[in-house]
Amino acid sequence: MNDKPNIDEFYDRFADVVGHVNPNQVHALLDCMTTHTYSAGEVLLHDGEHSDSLYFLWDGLLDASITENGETMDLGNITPGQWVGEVSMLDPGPATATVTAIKESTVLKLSRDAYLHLEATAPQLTTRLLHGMSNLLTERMRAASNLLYSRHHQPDMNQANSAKHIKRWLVNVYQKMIGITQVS
Amino acid sequence: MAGERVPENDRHYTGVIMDLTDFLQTVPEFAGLTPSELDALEMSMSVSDYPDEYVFTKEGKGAHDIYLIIDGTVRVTHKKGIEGGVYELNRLGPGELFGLLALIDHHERSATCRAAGPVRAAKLPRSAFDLLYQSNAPIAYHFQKIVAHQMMKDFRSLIKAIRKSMHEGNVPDAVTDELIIKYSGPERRKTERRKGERRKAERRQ
Repeated sequence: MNDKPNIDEFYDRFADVVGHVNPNQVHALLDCMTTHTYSAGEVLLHDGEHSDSLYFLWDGLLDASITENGETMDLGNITPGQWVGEVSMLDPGPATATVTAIKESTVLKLSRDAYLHLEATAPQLTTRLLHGMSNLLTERMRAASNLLYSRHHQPDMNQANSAKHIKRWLVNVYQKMIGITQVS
Repeated sequence: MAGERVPENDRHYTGVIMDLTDFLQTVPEFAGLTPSELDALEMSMSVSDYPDEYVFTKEGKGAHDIYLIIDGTVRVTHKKGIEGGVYELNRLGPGELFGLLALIDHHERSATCRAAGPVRAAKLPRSAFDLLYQSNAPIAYHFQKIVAHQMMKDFRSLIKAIRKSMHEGNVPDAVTDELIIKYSGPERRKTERRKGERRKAERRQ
């Protein structure tokens, strides 16, 4: 895909995050985004490295993973209609996972600079975008915190389980935090 | 009007009404607001004096207001559950906002915020914020930015705690961790109920 997608299709596909935006303003958001295609094996984001852009996956398939103590742990897949990088776009800093294309994938990228331009020229749009993203982040933190709290109150389970089991469980919590729903 | 003394028989005001706009300009979150944005914010807020032990938000109940502390201290606590008593998670002081999650969702509050001594605070009701949001007032975007900034800070802190636990091979301490408490309200209450039921069952045996 070289051209920008159809506005209605974009609005429907990414309704979770842009659903609060007035449909008449979605074109302003699309105008600020750039289209990129990644080949299989290409890396969009590196865990721990500086990131400042949000990527909407339009087509293809991406994989997310993290590396801890030299061990790479797979977090799951990102499928069309999902996105990555919203925290870093709003608050530039270390990426929370490595994201790699599993097959040729097309993304729509919203950089921090583009977002700031929108903030200055279309504040109503960014108000609503921010509202949508804050809602989603809160839901994810609630899901992860609920898991953490319920686990803490099962001390017998914590003692019986190996460090490997606990680590796998923590990966599950991490998946909730970054919004991965499809385990690879 | 700023500087006027309020009649003594008014329950809420015990002293001179301070100029809220002047105070807002000293709060870092509101730095950069234009005079008209400050005016819009001031008009939407009301300043009151609250007595010692006044409960601003109660754990397990809904809450719809945001508060900015002008003077005094607010204790943030959550219940220990069936053991009784509370954990103190934080103490907030002048210039600090609380209740921001009320702008995001309508979940029950996961902690109690209570005055530790007399407190003067400015209250922004959710309904007033909704009016600003619906009218696309610039100040609404500013508040969204404040909320989002707090979300990002909380998110990165939680990620860091989980990564640390992965590194060490243990489970984060959820009982006194302010962030986990903040976001896990409903689950925590379910867990405490289950604990209570187990204890009752054990006593019957």
